[in-house]
Amino acid sequence: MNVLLEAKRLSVTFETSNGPVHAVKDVDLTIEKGTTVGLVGESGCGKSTLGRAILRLLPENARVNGSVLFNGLDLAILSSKEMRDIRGRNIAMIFQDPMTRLNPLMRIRDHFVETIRAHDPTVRPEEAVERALKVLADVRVPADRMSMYPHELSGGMRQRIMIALCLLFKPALLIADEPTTALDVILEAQILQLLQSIMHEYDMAVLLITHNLGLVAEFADRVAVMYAGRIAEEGATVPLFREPRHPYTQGLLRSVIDLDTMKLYSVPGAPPSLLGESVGCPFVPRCEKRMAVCETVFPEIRLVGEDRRKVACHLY
Amino acid sequence: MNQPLLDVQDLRVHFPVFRGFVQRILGGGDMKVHAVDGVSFSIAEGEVFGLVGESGCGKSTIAKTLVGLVRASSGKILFRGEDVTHPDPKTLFHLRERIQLIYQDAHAALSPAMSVGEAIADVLRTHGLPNDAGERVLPESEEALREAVYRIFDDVGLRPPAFYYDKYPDELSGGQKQRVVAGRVLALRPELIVADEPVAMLDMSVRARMLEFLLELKAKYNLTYLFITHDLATAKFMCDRIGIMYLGRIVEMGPARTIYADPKHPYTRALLQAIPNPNPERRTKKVLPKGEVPNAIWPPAGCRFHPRCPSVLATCGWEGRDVIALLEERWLTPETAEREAVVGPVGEWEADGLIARRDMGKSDPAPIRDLIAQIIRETGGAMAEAVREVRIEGPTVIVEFHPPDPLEPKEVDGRIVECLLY
Repeated sequence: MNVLLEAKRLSVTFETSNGPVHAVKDVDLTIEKGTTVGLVGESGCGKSTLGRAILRLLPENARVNGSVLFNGLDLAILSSKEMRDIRGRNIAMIFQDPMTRLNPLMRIRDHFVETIRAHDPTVRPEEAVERALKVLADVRVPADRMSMYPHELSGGMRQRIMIALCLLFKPALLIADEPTTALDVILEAQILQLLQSIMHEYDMAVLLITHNLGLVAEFADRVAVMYAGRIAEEGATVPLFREPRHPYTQGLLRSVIDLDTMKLYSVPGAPPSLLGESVGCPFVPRCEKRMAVCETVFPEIRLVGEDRRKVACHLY
Repeated sequence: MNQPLLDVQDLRVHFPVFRGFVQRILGGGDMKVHAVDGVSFSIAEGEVFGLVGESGCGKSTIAKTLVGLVRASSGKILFRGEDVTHPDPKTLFHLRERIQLIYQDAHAALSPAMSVGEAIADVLRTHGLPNDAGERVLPESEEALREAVYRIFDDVGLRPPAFYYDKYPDELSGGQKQRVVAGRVLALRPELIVADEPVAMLDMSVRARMLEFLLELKAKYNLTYLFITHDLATAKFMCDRIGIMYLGRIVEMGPARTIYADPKHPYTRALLQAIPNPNPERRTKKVLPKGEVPNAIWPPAGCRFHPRCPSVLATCGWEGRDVIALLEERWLTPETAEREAVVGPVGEWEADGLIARRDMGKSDPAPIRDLIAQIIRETGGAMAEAVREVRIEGPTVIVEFHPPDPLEPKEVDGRIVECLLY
């Protein structure tokens, strides 16, 4: 085992005027060096919150419990200055909409210079530009884009530049939160191909947060399926897609519309509110295999089958 | 069934680009976004016709033009044989009873300050209630109106209707809001529904429910759909016939089954290949088109897909700016950029129709001519074949292409394709 990141019993609760919202609850997640973990789930399942919790990028009303170990180092006990050093240098993050992450008043060059000098003020601007040009070539962005403003670039170029900014310090982990959701299919495939080749080149692990099961199937070594703030199922990609065990994973996979779809399927009902305390399995109102025990007892994660897959379901 | 319900003929929608005074003085001519640039299709009664393409291909502009929200620049729109391209306000009012639009974002389509029951009642107050004879009569009383709205809610599966009438949009889920929007559309008993990405905002686990709902409505009310989507998988399931759009043109059009079984246009193939495959045991290396969709202000010459096309020919429309794009791409490799530095920088090159040129000023243009000719030879392929000559005129190095072959939509194996391969 070559563990890079390990979240243990990680929970995030938002204090709101309506009461506490349990966005992430008791999540265990392990990412090994150089691998891709797909974190899938639907809107509001807590996947983005989990990604941000790792980097401690949550708003002030968030209460975090549990621990996140990065190379054995507990991120929760770091000072905010130490944490700032981890961000970007060791763990980087890209988001869905690159336009809102780039400063519209700054040329692309200045984004790079500022990022580099924020971590190392001794670097001269000319040196920073040199380093920027190297990573830009890696993400296949022509050098003249350095003097442009974000609005002058296409969506694909902007996302490439976001990736290049992440690569500056050769981070060991990239958290990619819906990195291609704002892009069209061809561009999405291009960006994912790029990420894949960069991962190998930089020996970088990726946590791919997405609602798109197809992307995970094509890209991830392991998959974690989230539902209502918890991990419902986690395991290696191929066996998990071949034989999903949690009824939610089964429903989600059946509801994918692809070119082979002959009959439509949708999971009945809607996801539960995460406001306040809950008992039993959060999926129970939508589950076609529910039993009496599901209403009252939360199913703890169990290791199921030959592939020792983690499943949170009373069926196993 | 001879006359189609909707017949769109050579539709063009160009949007002027507003520029400052100085920019206009500096020239460049009239700048227009060629959002829709010569599109023809027809939809038979009871059919589901899909327009499929990526953002910016013009599919939503067509939707807006059909309901009079955007003016056609040229071409014709016939609805049951009647020319409705530029309707006067009265015609438009009644046209909207017959053609209705469902948007992607149901939340934005509903007023946050109006209960969803009122949203539908308001439509009936304006347009009247369709009776059995197909006439529209204004409701006699508020009670009758409320009853009518209840029936519509019941129809679209918002039950019990009285429970939903006074709800506001933010109290409903995405799927429920989409049902309210569908109800508001159905209240008018339209003949054609234009559904613009109706499920794109919904989560995967509930998307199917909405699609099934649209198909149920179609069967029940004998509706005709223009279904607009970027998602080829959804289109395959929903549509009888589809048109694949790229940069304002339909590049392939025909029965959905035919196109999916054997896509002909390289763009259709690229789109199909790019769809993420939810089977990790069938991972394949994808051959993707180069680059991104170009700017619709200056669409590429010849076939608009030619700069990105994996099957491109010498006659597809090679032009000056393709040389500049080639140099840019080559010089992404720093060693090549260094070796060929004398040819650049890219900004010194200028494209003008079939020509790319660089003014060398006082330095000798001959070595640059030789080097660029060598680069083109090295690149080879259709582009090199399309080059007419690389020459010097005074201090200027010029690369000139042969003009492209004319491109016409052709009938190929039961569908229309606009591609020189056929």
